[in-house]
Amino acid sequence: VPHFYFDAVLQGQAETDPVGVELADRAVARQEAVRAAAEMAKDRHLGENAQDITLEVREEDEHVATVRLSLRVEEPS
Amino acid sequence: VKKEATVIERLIRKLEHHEPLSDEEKRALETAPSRVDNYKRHDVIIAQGDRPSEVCLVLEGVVGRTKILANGGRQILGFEIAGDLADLHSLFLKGMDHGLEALASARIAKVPHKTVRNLMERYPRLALAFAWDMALDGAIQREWMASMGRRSAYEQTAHVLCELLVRLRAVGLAPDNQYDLHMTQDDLADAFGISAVHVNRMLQALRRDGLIELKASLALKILDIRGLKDAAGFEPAYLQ
Repeated sequence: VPHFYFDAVLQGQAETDPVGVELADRAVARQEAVRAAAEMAKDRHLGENAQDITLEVREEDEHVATVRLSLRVEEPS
Repeated sequence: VKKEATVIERLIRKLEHHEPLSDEEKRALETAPSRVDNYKRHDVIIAQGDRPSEVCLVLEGVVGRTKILANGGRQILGFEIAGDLADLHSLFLKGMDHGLEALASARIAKVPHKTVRNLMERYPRLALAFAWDMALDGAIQREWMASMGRRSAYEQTAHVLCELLVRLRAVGLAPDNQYDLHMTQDDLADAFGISAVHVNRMLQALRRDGLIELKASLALKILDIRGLKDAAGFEPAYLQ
């Protein structure tokens, strides 16, 4: 079973994934990354100064995809 | 035979958290006829929709209550550990609204419904102890619902690890605050209703924060119980 790693960048801080997750294939890994990014946004209670959530998906050392989620709060000036 | 006796003692120990049992009541439990089946990880013990004629007592391993949805999803509704009567409510259901699945290799003693009914009729205090056990299951499920709806994944993960520590310790199974879940990240993801990727991140975060040590994937040691309870907002009263 292929093993995928999901390195995150949150509020400009990099978090390398030392463990990874076994998933069927790259398509599933991309879907999981999208889902995880949405869950991270839900957990972080992002406010007005929200920054991007980025997940770099790799299979061992090979880059598979970048998933980036942006949330902006805009108010009338 | 000796091994089985220890497990019945676990059940007795658990039931006695509610109220002490007489020697006769304990003997009745110890001598109740049962057969033992062994299961491998991911074996289905009881399928959703089955109409079982026996109650499952977990002797060893971890069992998940599982709900399979029409969209193909699987939700794990609870973990059953050694000493747990995993489907006592099957006594009252027309058909199982969920299944039981071995999440790690498991040994299960199966006690005929008829035997359990006879025990309950003869020994009202045992009947009350069983009712208490089902009420406890309900309390755990409510806590899980609260976690899924209103706790962050970090709090939810910490909460389940606290709950398992308390439950395993109650039956003498978490020496030095260490236990091995023998589960996969997928199982935890299906229990929490989140992705395996996020589960993995939460376990790493708890490790980085010095609350747990991860040996193998889900063999863990709780390093800071106070800290883990605070992180979860864990109040153990619902387990008593």
